[in-house]
Amino acid sequence: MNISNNLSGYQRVHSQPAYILHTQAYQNTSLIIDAFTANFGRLRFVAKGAKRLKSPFAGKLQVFTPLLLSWSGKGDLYTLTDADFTTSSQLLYLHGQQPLRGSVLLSCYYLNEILLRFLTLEDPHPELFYYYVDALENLSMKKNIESVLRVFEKRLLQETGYSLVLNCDINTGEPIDALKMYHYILNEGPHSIAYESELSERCNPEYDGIQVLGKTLLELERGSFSNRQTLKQAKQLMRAVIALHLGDKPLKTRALFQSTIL
Amino acid sequence: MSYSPLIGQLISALKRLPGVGQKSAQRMAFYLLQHDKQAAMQISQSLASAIEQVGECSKCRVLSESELCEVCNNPKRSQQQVCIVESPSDVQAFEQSTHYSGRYFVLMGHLSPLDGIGPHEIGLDIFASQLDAGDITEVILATNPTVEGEATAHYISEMTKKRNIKTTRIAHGVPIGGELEYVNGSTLSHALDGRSIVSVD
Repeated sequence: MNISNNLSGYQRVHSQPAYILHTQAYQNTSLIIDAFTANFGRLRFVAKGAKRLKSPFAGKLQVFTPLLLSWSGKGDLYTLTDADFTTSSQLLYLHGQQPLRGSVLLSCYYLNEILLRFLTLEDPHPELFYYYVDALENLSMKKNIESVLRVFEKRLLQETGYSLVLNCDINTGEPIDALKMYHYILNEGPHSIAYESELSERCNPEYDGIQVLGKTLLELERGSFSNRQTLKQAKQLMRAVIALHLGDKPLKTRALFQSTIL
Repeated sequence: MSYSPLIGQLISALKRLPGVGQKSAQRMAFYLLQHDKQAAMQISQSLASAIEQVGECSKCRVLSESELCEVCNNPKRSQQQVCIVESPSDVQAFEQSTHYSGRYFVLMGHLSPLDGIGPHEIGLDIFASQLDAGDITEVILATNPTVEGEATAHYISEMTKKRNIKTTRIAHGVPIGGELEYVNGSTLSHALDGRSIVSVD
């Protein structure tokens, strides 16, 4: 890795694989960029003059495009010094295709939004970075979109320390039975329904659990879904878990999914 | 140094303009007050009346002081052909340098899901009802060639596809007078994709 670091905390970093998650306009011609880098986690940059026609950044700072970023500075906002397409993004262009287009774009924006909400600045998640690349690739090939999203959500939770218990009943420790129904209590894990009567005392009417089939849990653990029912249950479960961690501020891309006019 | 209250107020008002900082704002304020009070009066009057009277054209959303803008109201221009652009300055660009003779629809932005800007915010509900009204025969997509612009174009193309309306996208390509060697890769590949048949007469 090309890093020079001195005592004052000033960093100069070269050619790091990264994806841009979000950009916002800053002053007249500059951008503030939220990016997910492979080795440094989520970072925030200012790209000076990026909107000028002849800027070295012109046309490069696009979301969902694999980039190599170089930066310098210290603290929360680094100065972007260089941006380049990677060989893989050049390859995409060679084949004359846009990295991503059309109906899957909204799903890709959803990935970016949950990353922005879950990752804190300067917290490296190299594994998650490659999961993200993997998810984008699968989405661009329009493979089963819902299942790609569920798998990414699960991995995101895992990497940020909110792993879900998916393989055993947390009351008895027994392995999950595909044919049984479970109550998934958020923040804890699955209880087999038989225990529900005991639980009812502890849990008020606003019971924060979701009913799922054992099969759903096992398939979510494995990362592949066999039918629409388990996929739908997994979606409900993930939605509830994510809502719990994100608090009151709802996800904007989800609202957009629902407000399509057409 | 502190300014007298009115001058300070003027300077901070000028600073709200894009590209104007403390220094330029001060220069403008002093210039107007010292050397050209007449121009200052003119600016203040035209600004006030513009703010009061200018609104959006009800058909294409471009800034206009009448209910319909000049383009939408012009009987010589085709009302069946609609060019969709992101901003009023894009309309100006088309008007100044092309022979386009249809009308426009201005989105005032592009889809930007993470900023909460969805189809409603860029007026696509209004556009949908115009499509439903049935006199539009061609939609020309002229959003910017960025990921957001493409996403917006794609969204609109789904709206038009559902209604069976001819939809075209402006070409992306090599600028006139440019040299291929220096054109960036993605532009060149777009140019290749959008190549057209050479006609010899």
